[in-house]
Amino acid sequence: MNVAVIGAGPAGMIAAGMLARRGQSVTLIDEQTGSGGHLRYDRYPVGSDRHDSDSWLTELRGAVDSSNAVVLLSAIVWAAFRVGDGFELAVNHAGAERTIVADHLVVATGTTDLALIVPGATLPGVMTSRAARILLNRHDVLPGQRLVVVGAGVEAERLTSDLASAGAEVSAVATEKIESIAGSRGVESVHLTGDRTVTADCVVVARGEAPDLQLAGMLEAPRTYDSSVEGWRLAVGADLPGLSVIGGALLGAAGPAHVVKATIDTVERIAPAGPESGEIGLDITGAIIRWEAVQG
Amino acid sequence: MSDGETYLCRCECISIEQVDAAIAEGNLTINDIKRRTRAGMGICQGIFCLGQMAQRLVAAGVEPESIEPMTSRPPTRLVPVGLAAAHAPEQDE
Repeated sequence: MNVAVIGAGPAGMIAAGMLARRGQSVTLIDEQTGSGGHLRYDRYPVGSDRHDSDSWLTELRGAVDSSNAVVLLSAIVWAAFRVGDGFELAVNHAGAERTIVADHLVVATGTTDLALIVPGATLPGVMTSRAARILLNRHDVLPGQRLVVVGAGVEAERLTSDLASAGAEVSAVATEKIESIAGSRGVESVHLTGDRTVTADCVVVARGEAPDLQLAGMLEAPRTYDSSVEGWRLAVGADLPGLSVIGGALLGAAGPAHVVKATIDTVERIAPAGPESGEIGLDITGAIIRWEAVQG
Repeated sequence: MSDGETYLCRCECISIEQVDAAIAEGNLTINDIKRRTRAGMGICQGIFCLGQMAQRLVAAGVEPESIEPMTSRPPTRLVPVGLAAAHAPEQDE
């Protein structure tokens, strides 16, 4: 069976590696230049005493590379269609047209960071938490000297402490307290409730993340709005012939253990383990423990 | 420089007031708000604003579970016209 996996984050990589080892013809597609999804930037700063996600990423890449899965990077799936009992994907592969045909489609498109809707939120210097992490962890660049991190969840807390330990002056502020952001050519100050003003050159929006179901929606996967995540989730009990949704696209910001278990369950449904099937080539239990260590 | 507007859809420069006005006119679905205002029709295809449009509907008293996302259509990302033309999928309608 031809299986296309869209999204080479941890969930997509585990699914692709396992399915290929179970005899499926797998194509793993990602729009980025490297596989790993959030593991490419979701690590702690150099010098931090916490675990770093590079070793887990190396293991996952090894598991995919040692399988027969074909990995297409810099490959943007800009359309997905049901054709007969299968699927056809229109892919922009580094500027060249490419059509991928699949009997089964696995959507592992991850999540999208929530926006902040206040006056001045379109000024240069306002960015999402993952943009700040990419600057900090992949490029070793501090996004600003005096930062305001907006949000209240685990990611807001982690980012506040990571940016502070990298040398920035950071204030953490709850979303409800932000009235507006002001500046001429970029962020200069943040106005808070109670007539308070904080001087800042960067605002990092870490309000949470919602499943990215844009491609699943194009295939008419039913979605239910969840105001607690300010986004849609796959409808419970949705009947999706030939289509599986895994990872953040299914679970939002769930922990690694949930993501890995749900991914393995999905692989079992697509291609049950037979006596001949090899394993993924990963120490899954150890990997979950290490991944959880990365996430703090 | 900030112009003081509160943009809900930054791609199409649609303010929160324009979205609220469309809802007050009786556009009570995401597709209707989209058609009335263009919110969600820009370069990001609603990735950042759709959930926020839904939050405005919730604030106006619409039941959250009843809110459908806008119809998802190709392309999901910018695609060169020549490349799109090279791909001609079978149309069954």
